[in-house]
Amino acid sequence: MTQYTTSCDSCFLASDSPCSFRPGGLELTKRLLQAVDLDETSRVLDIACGCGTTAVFIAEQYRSSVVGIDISPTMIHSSKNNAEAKGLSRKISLVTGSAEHLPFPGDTFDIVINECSFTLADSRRTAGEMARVLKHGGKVLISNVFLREDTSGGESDTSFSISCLAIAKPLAEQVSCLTESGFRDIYTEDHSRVLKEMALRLIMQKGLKKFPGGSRAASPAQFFKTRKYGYSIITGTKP
Amino acid sequence: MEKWHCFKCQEEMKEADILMSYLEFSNMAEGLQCPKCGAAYLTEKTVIEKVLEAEEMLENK
Repeated sequence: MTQYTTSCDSCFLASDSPCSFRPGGLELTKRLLQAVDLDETSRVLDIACGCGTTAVFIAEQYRSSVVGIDISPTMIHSSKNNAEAKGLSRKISLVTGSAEHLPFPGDTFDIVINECSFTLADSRRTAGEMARVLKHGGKVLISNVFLREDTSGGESDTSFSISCLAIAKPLAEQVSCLTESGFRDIYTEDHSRVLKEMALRLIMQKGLKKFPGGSRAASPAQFFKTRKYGYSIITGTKP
Repeated sequence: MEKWHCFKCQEEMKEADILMSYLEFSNMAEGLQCPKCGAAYLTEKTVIEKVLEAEEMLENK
């Protein structure tokens, strides 16, 4: 059985610029944040914060306090550098750790945000941890790749070297992880276009003709012929 | 790189990032631009190595 890391830093996309190829980029983050009212009193947890782009944006834009957690020490180091460069070290705390075992007391955060990584770890356990650390009335904001259930051979392509694609799950399964953890008012919004935008950037900026590691859908162009994957935002409320 | 000149102005073309749009998607591509009239050309290398692949992807071919 193929083993996948629960971090993005071993992905070939992270080799030169870890966050620049995240589907949807900061624009999709802004769309997610429209679901909540943030201000300087808000406490936000950014799970799988990567190099800190979202944490920095929230701290800078809303003056909220942000805690970023990532399983990769390399990403946390990168986040720290970004926060310091923006003069936001007092607003942003950074912790190395797993989404499945969040090292925070219950009822701590107003908002939990998790971009492009919900299915990298055990989604049920992660959803449970999100529910635990959120305050009542708090919101979870997720953007993630999903596996289309209406395609023939509706299974992830496990030969992908991009682990988030290799272990993608159907959207309904991701939503059920949240409802089983007690989240209500679940809202989903399709943003599958961002995957094509990402593939276009990979081709035009990196000249990428093949995904490293080999795959049945080995090139960005072939990847979209399969039409197996979509991208969605998912939000929910802890009652 | 081989020197190219603008067909209209005869100015020497300069290397530049060209904004390309196709099927409601946009991205930058390496190309050549006339410093006088702004006319933009793509190099054969860019077209063969990148644009063709991008077109196929966007058209779901």
